[in-house]
Amino acid sequence: MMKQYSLKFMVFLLLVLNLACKHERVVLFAPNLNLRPAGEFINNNYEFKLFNAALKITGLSEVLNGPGPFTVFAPSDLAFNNMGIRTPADFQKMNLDSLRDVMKYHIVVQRMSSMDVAKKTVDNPFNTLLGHPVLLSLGNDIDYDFYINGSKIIRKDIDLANGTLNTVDKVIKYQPVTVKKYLESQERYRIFTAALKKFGLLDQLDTQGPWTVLALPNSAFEKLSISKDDIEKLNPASFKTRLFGTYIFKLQFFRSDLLILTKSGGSGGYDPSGAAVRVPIPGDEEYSHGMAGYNLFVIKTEYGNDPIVRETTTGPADRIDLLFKNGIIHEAGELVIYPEEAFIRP
Amino acid sequence: MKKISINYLIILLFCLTACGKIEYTKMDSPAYLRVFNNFTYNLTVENKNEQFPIFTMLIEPKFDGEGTVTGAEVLGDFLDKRDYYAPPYPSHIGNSTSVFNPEYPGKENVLVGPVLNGYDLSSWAQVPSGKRRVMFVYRPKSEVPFLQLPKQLRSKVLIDTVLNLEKGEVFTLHLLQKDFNTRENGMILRQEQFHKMPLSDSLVYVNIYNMSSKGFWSANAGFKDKFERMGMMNFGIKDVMNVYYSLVNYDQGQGQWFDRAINGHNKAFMGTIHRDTESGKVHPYFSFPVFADAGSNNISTKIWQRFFFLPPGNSLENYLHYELYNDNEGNFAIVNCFENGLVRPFADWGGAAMLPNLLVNVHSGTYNPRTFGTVNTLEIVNGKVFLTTVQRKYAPPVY
Repeated sequence: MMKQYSLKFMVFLLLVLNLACKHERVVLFAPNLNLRPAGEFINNNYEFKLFNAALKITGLSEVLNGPGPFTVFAPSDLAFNNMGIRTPADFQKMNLDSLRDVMKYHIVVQRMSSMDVAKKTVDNPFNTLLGHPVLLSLGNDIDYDFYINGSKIIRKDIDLANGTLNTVDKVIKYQPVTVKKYLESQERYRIFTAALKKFGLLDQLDTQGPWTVLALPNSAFEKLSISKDDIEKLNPASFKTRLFGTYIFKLQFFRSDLLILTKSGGSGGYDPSGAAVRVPIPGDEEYSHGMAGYNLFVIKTEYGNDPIVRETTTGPADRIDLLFKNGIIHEAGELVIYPEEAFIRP
Repeated sequence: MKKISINYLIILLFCLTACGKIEYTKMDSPAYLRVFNNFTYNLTVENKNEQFPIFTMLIEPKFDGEGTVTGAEVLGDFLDKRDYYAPPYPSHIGNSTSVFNPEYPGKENVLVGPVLNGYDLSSWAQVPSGKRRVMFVYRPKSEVPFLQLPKQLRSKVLIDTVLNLEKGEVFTLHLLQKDFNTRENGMILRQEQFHKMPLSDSLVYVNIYNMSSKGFWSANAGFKDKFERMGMMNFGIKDVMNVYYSLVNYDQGQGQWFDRAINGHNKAFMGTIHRDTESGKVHPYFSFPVFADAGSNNISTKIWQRFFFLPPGNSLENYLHYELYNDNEGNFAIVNCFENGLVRPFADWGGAAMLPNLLVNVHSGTYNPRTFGTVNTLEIVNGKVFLTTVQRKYAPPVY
């Protein structure tokens, strides 16, 4: 009797000992095995007709069907339309290598989600197939203030078998040339480039920087009936640096950064504590330049909020946030300082 | 038979509890350390290449082959900008669910200091003493713990140095900006002395530091962030300032509130403070009685304190009509230590900085409330002023 009883206990004890340290692994969410890879997903989506065509021409479609992981920032058809690309046939006219580089720049070589970017931060780098990182910025609201290289991310975190996909409203570009080289190559900025050269401001744009240039198109000069010859005739010694120094910042900012990194308070849009950027113009500290909202402005350094000298808009959308090796170019609308306002009177 | 089954039951009990093993944390010969992040700046487009000032403290960090931090003997994560008030005991723990820590140890669940010479050091963490490598690394403001961050986000170092933390000593470490224009950063390690000094418990002690960065007060007002509760202090104070104090009683009399300065403690001279972002020297403690009012019952009092700052050679009377909020270009500032620091006293029209009362009123023994004298440190950093209060151990309440 006694022996039987203790045997029962021994068996029970063994059972308890067996269970005591065992922790079952509970799987709450089984992974979805029915997701498609990135290349397939884009191929089957009418919103990305042109992006898909570009990927196919450049042979990146197969890469995107590979193991990954990838995060794709897919420009919608509208984004390509804004560049003047309307049908897949338009890609045939383009240089395949440079098109491939542009497409590679839309593919991040890791699986990332919007959660990987902290709120109120800019310039979070993520490496791409191109080898140069894209810069992600997030404001307060992930649904409205989420940007890649200054372009808005419209839809985010679409799960794929080999990564995630996001939609952007603009084709983003990285051009591995300096700001100076780009300005010189553009007919559109011919007068502006000549002016920077004449006033000794152009060569610094070949150095590391980083720089942000608010480039003036020829039309801005023509509006004031200033021609390239007029610029050549000016004597740099008799003008303050602010005449063209106004358009060059030794900072790098996308236009979206101006909305994310706002300052606290301030007594107005141009006040140093109100404007997103306001710094004295290097070499002419009597005047300060800055960005209020999307606008470039010039003001006397000693003034708080007004009177400002003048302000001008930036844009259009396809001529802002152009990223180069050593900086960014945005197009500005008009001159904010006229030659007679920077003239040193004898 | 019965005896045996009881034995088995006991064995069964042992088996069931076999996996619960408690390891008590213990630190041999510790030093006591409290860390504040005194950075006040915000990130803007102009300085966006700087890092947002939130840090991880690493004592004796460990690295992998690539030089990335993989661990540390002591790790203090989420060290955010400091709060206006550092209370005598770590009340943050019960008052907040956010991971961001206004000081170290603050919310960290670590061994803290004992009651040393009567002072409650529960806001100081025990850290290994001796010469220790201390690192402060920038981290993004997210809720991801430091060691789980991607490698590239773990490599921006603010300070990497060796500190000599002597055994049994009390240290306060301040991270701060040394120069407002060049954005040079640094830190101060202060070896506190209050627990070694013969301080009376019928007096309130306060010492004042100006740890503002060089060039802050003279900078254009537009470059300074403004906080409503800091009043005129927003614009900074000059490098050398005289300090005056008033003790003020307030009550309701003749149908309206009044604030009445105590005789003998009305705009009385206290001393001079110099801006210093280099040395860890302890500044002299000024003192005033806990019960300064002649009619006091010596048990509790509602008296509050005002501190006036103005440059040597100036008379306080010349400035008092500037008590309204305006930019005095570093020449004048007031700090009110009133109630819990969240309301303005009757006599203040928005010009003064708001901090909690230096006197601690708390239920102790049979008295509710009972007033205790404390040892305080006022730290002025750029446009902000911070209060740290250390309290003696007091009798528990009797209900």
